[in-house]
Amino acid sequence: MNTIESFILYSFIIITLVLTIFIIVVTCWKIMKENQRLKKRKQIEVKLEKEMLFNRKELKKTSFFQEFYEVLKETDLKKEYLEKLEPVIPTLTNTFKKKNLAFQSYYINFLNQYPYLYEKDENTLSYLKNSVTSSSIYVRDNALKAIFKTKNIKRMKDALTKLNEYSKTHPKKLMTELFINYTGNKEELVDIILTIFDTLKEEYKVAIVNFFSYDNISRENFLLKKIADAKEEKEVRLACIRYFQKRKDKRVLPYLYLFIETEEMDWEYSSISALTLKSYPSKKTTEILLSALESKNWYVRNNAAASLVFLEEPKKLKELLKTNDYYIKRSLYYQIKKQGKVV
Amino acid sequence: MMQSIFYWGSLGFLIYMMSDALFFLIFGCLAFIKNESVSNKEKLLQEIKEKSFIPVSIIVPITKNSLLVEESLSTIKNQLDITYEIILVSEINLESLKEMIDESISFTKVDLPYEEKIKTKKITEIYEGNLSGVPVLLVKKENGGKSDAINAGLNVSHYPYVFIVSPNRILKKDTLSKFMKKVLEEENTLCCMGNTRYKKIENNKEDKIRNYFKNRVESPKYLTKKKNIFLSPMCALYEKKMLIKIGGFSPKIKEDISVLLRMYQNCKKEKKKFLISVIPNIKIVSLTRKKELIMEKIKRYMGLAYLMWQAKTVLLFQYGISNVFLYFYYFLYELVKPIIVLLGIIVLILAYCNNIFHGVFLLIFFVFYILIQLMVSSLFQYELEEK
Repeated sequence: MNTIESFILYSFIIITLVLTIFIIVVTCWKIMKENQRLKKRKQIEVKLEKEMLFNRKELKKTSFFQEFYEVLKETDLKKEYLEKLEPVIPTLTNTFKKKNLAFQSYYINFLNQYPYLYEKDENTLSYLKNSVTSSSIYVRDNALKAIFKTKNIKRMKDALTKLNEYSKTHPKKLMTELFINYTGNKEELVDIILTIFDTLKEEYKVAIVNFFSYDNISRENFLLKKIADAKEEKEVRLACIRYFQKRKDKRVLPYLYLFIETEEMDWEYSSISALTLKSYPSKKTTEILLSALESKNWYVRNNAAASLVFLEEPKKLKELLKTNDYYIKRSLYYQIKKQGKVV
Repeated sequence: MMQSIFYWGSLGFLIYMMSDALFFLIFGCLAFIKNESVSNKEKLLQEIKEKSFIPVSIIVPITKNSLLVEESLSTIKNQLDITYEIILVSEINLESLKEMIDESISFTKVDLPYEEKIKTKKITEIYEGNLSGVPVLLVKKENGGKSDAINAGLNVSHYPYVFIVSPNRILKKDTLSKFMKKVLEEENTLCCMGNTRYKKIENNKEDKIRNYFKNRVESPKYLTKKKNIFLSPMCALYEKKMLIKIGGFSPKIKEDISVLLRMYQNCKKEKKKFLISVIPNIKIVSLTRKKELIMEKIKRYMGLAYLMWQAKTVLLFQYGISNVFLYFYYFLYELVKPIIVLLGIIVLILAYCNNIFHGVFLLIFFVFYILIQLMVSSLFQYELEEK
C-alpha cells in the first residue's frame, strides 16, 4: 500500500475507533445515571414514608431535588409534614434561580403546588415576580400561577403590570386559563384587572374579555363602552362583541346593526356582529341579517346565514332559498345542512 | 495518461466518500447530543394542557398511487386531545377513496362555501364526515398534482395552522400536540418539522435489515437551528397566513421544496422575525414500497434541483453563512451524489483492473465506510424501535 492508501485507511480506522469509544462511553454513562437515579429514589421513598426530614445540602442538588419532587407527586403526605420544608425554601430559591430555565420552571412548578411554603418568604416572592418576565413560557406561566396561588391582590396586580411591560407576549389562552382557574374571590380579581385594563397589551385585554365570557362575569357596562370606543384595539372590540353572544344585553344591538350597515369600514366587525345577532331575535335583526346576506365578503355572508338559519322558521327559510343569488343560496344551504334544519 | 486519470479520479471519489461518512458522523453525533438535551429538558417542563393549543387543520393530499392511506389515517385520527380537523384532498372518486380509507365511514356531500385564497384547479365536490370524533372534510378536485391539492386544502381549511402530511406517514399520538406546543413556546414559528424515518415495506412485511442501513439521520437539520431553507417541507406544520401570502405550494414542479426559501424571502422583505424549527424528538415514520420509493426519490431530486436554482443567491451570503454551507452540502452530498457515485464506481473498477489500487485496500475502505454508517444509525436505533 502506498502512503495515500495508508493515510485513508488509518483515518477511517481512527474515526471508527473514536466513534466506538463514544458509543461505549455514552451507553455506560446512561446506565450509571439510571442506576444512581433509582438508588436515590429508593432513599427518598424510605425517608418520606418515615416522614423524616431532608437536609438542605441534599435538596440543593438538582438531580436529588428532581427525584424528590417526582416521589412527592406520587405520595400523599400530610400538610403538617410538608410545612416543615418551609425553612429550606429561601436557600432552594437562591440556589435554583441560577440554574437553567428548564430547571427554574420545574422548581416554580413545585412551588405553586405548595403555596404555603413560600407565601411568607419575600425573597421567593420577589424571585417569582421577576420570573414573570422570563424568556421561557414555562417559567412565566408557572410564576404567574404561583403568584395567583397566594391570592394577594396587590401582588397579582404587580405581576400583571410587569408582564405587560415585557417585550414578549404571553399566549392569551394561557392568560384566560390563569384567570379562570383562580381560586380566590373572582369579583375582587375582576375589579383589580379593570383598574389596569387600559394600560394592558391588546392580547391581554382579549384574554380578560374571554375570561369574562367563559366565566359568565357580568361587566356589560364596561364592555359596551369598549365597543363604542373607536380608539380601542380591534381584537378587543371584537372580543367584546362576542361576549354579548353569551350574555344577552339589548343595549349592544345598535352597535351590532351599525357594524353590519357600515361594512365597508371593516368586514370583521360585520362578520362577528352577524354571528352575535343569533342571540337577539327580532324583526329588525332579520332585516339586518338579510342585508348582510348580500355582502361581498364570504365571512359576513356565511355568519349572517348561520344566524338566519338558527333564528328563522323553515317556512321563511324556504322563501329565502327562492333567491336567484347563487352565493346567498349556497351559504344558506350549507348552514341548513350544518344545523340539521328541515326545510 | 489514462493511468493518471484513473488514479486521481478514484482518489477523488474515495475522498468524497470519506468526507460523506465524516459529515454523517459529525451531524449524527450532534443530532444525538441535541436529542438527549431536549429529552432531558422535556422531563423538567410541565405539560401545557392541549386545550390551550391553537387549533390546526391536517391536510392529506391523496393520489391514486397512495397505498398506505388507511394505516396512516388510523394514526392521524388518534392524536391527543387537541382541536383539529382532517382535510383529505383527492382527485379520485369517492368510492375508490372509501376503499382506501375505511368503507364504513359515511360522508355527506355539502355545499361548503370557501374563499379561494390561492388559485387552484376546480374543486368539484366536498364531503363532510367523521373519523372517531374528528371532523373530516373530503375535497374532490380536478387533477392538478400534489402541490395543487395542498393549496386546495389550504383554501377550505378553517384553522390558523396547517399540518401537511403525506398519506404514508405514521404519526405518534403526541406528534400534533408537540408541534403545537412549539408554536406556543415560540411566537414567531412559521414552520415546524420533526424527524422522518423511512421504513420500507414489501408484501406487508418490514425489511428490517435494509431499513437499518437506509435510516440515515436527517443530519444537517441539526446544524442550523432556525433558518435552514433546505429542509424537506412536505411533512410539516405551517402558519397558514404566511403560506397563503407566499402563494402556497408551487404546482409547477412535482415536489415543491422551495416553500421555506420563499417564506425566508418574504420575512426578510417585511423585516419580520421568524423561526423554522426542527423538533428532534418528534418521530414520523414514512412507510414506502420499492416502487414508491424510487418515484419519491426522483421527485425529491427534481424539487431539490429547482430549489438550488431558485436559491442561487444564497451563495451571495444573503441567507446567512450556514445556508451557504448547506447549499454546498445539499448540492454535493444529495443532488449530485447518485452521479458521483455511479461515475466513481466505474473509475474505481477501472483503477482496480489497472492495478492502481489494491483489492484489499478497497475492501477494507468500504467495510469501514459501512461500519461508520451502521454505528451512527445504531445511536438512533432505539428511537426507531420505540414506534
